[in-house]
Amino acid sequence: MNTQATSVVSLQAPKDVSVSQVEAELSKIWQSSGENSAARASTFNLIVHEPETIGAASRIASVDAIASQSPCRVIDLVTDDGEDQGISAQVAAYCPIQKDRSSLICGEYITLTGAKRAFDRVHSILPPLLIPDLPVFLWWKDSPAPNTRMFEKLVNLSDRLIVDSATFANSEVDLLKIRGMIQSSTQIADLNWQRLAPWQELTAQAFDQPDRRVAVWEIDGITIDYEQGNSSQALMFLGWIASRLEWEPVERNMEGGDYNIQHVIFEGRNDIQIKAELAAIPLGDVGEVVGDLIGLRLTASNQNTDACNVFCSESTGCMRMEAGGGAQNYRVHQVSPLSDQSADTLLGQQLQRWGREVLYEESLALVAKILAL
Amino acid sequence: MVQILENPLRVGLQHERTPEPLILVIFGASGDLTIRKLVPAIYNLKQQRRLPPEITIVGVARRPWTHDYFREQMREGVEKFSTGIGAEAIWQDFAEGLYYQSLDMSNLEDYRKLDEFLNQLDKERGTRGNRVFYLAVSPNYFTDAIEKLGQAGMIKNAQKTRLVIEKPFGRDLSSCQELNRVVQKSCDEKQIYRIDHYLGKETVQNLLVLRFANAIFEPLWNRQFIDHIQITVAETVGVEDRAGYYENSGALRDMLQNHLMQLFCLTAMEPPNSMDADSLRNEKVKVIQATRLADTRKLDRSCVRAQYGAGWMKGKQVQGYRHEPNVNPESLVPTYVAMKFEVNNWRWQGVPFYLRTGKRMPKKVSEIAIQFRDVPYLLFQSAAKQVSPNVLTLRIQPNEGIALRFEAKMPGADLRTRSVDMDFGYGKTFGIEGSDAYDRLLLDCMLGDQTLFTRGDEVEAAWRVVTPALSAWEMPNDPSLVPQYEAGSWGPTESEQLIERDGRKWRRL
Repeated sequence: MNTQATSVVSLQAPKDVSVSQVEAELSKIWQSSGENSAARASTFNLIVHEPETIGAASRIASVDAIASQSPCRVIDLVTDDGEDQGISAQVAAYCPIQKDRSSLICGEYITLTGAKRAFDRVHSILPPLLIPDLPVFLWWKDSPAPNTRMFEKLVNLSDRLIVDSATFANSEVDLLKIRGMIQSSTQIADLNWQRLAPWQELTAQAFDQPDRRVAVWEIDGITIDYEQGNSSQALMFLGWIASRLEWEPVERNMEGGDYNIQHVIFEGRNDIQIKAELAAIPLGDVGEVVGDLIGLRLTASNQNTDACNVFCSESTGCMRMEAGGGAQNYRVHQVSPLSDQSADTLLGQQLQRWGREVLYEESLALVAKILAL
Repeated sequence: MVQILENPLRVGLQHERTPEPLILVIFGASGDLTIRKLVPAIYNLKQQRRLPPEITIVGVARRPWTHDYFREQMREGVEKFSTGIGAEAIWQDFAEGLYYQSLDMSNLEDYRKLDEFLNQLDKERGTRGNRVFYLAVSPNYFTDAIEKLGQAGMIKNAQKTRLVIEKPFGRDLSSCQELNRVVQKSCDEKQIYRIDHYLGKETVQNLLVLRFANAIFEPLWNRQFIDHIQITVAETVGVEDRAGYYENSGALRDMLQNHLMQLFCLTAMEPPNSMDADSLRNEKVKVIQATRLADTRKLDRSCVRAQYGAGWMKGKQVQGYRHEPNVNPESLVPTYVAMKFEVNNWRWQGVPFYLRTGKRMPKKVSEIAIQFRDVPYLLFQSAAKQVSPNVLTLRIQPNEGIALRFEAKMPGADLRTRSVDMDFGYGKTFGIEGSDAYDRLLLDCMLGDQTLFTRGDEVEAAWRVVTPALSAWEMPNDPSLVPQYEAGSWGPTESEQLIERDGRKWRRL
């Protein structure tokens, strides 16, 4: 997928209207630009909820990235802590322009603003604003809140919930909430899970060669370093590899310390015991995403096997992994993502996908088992 | 037998496919195709990280270039004919894998030297003996190259070596059969990738999706509901600087026998059992085998050839084909061909397929138009005095998309109808750029996926369909008997007659 900087043709700057006038106002916008709103291509509805701390400019920028790829209707929910004075609406239409494209992909933006309590009534306001018979995605840019009325109602209105576990306030608690929702049949996508793709790909690639495939079952040690601040990626990666290699978690110990180290013991095939170590490495600059994987080491006590591999992040390197001694015995891989890993870009990819992500769900099931210890 | 274990970590991963490390050997490395299309396409794949880091390209041609000079030439090509170099580090990494080897295509010793060089590169770059040989050379060299590669033992390993052959595959049925014999003698069919870049186009592949992923079209896709089908590939350009090639090919060999025939196949074939290479290609072969020119006894009733004469294009006067540089002033080579096909099977009996292609047409446009039958009885008054038939148009280029024309009631007290279009445009619906045809096909070949490549029997069958016309037109003839059309027009009057004789008209595009 191409990611290109966008500039924007504004068909209609944000205009205040009452909620009941939104549809009529959007029709007017398209008619004034020579298009028939009913005949416009539109591929989905996207409801966005984000903490009020995010400014309007930032919100618009992130939805531009989405709308430049697919014509859609974005409904942005902005909540504040004030008195419940009802919900006000703004409508706008933009056509982000991408270099090298001759045609415009245009999107409609509806911003609904109100007090948190006002949004408890959201289920009665939103349905008429959604384009009928098109999928509805809910992008929840916050920790999941399954016990709140607003969250519950929005999830019920949507076909798919999209979260980014890199933004979770408490990774372990919030991942368990997500697991609970999956068990109750909510379709969920986690953008942070997509960030693991290059790590999973390279790890799998290390055992692609037929003569190395048997070695994968000899792995009995795994060390995962991640950026301090969010353990979601580390836990999901551990959940993924454990679910693939049929490891059952049996013990979990928190060592703590500067690296907040935790150990997990698994039992694998042929009663092999696997020791996992997760370390949160404090970094000066963690970048846009908190909790990215930094390095990963797979080891095997069996000296006759070819299972020892080190994987290092392209951006941070992994001194700690290579410093452990015996580095010459490891195959070292550098992990560089195939595309931009920002939430906006990953969201664009996610909006093209459908259905359950079985691998994600199975990995998360294992994470839940680990966290239950 | 050794049991190959599955890689458990691979299960469920949905990443883009990446080929194994390999050496791509391009014969004709100093030619236009390499510089304009192939290397820019491979670099594009490199930028998208769709290739393994070990990917190595060895350019082969007669000229005595050095590795560095080859790298410079390829860099210029990428800068000029693709989205550019981008990050310098990526280019440097790519350029390190570019090599050049001078070779005389008729000299077996040169192939042996090339083989040694490739073996040496295997060790240096970890390419594990995997090779793709791409024949981007004049068709005259195909036989020599394939035979020599075979004699040098360079394509004997069917698992690790592949051969890509550019069109045209032969210049008639017998030369195609002969070339197939040479190929089969030197390697297996599963190693052969006959490339027709039309099959790499997104919109051509979308034709399969439209037909076989939507339940609403298939019930209508037959003689009961379809009146006829028109396939048009029109170019605005003339012969330009390709007279040397074009004088030996012409519109029939250059376009109709391959590009238009592929569009025809995908439109007319039965649903394949699956999307694997042979299922799809089996169906294509079956439909071509059921196809023939509508009237082989009176050829003018089923095919028309013509040449463009002088005329005007975009306000500029242009010369006729026979006055173009390096064109024989008495040339019989057609720059325009129109044909009427009949398909003798249950689905299509009685539904003519009209195909036309030409140079110096008023517009560059490629499309497939499926015209449905008239309603059995007209109840309403139409603004056009008659109801227009429904037409489903698949636009290949430009404005890629699909349009359905149907009748709608005009606003007002009277019950009158007018034709309207329901129009789906790729550009308006998907903000994601499709990949270039060569990007897609090169990657498929490196991955060993033959689905979008033509099979030997398919190419032979396609030649068989056009052979009656080819034989007649190849006979020594009076140049004045080749119809002329004005540059900038939609072809000769003979072409209009071909379709009007059946009470139909070419679409105005």
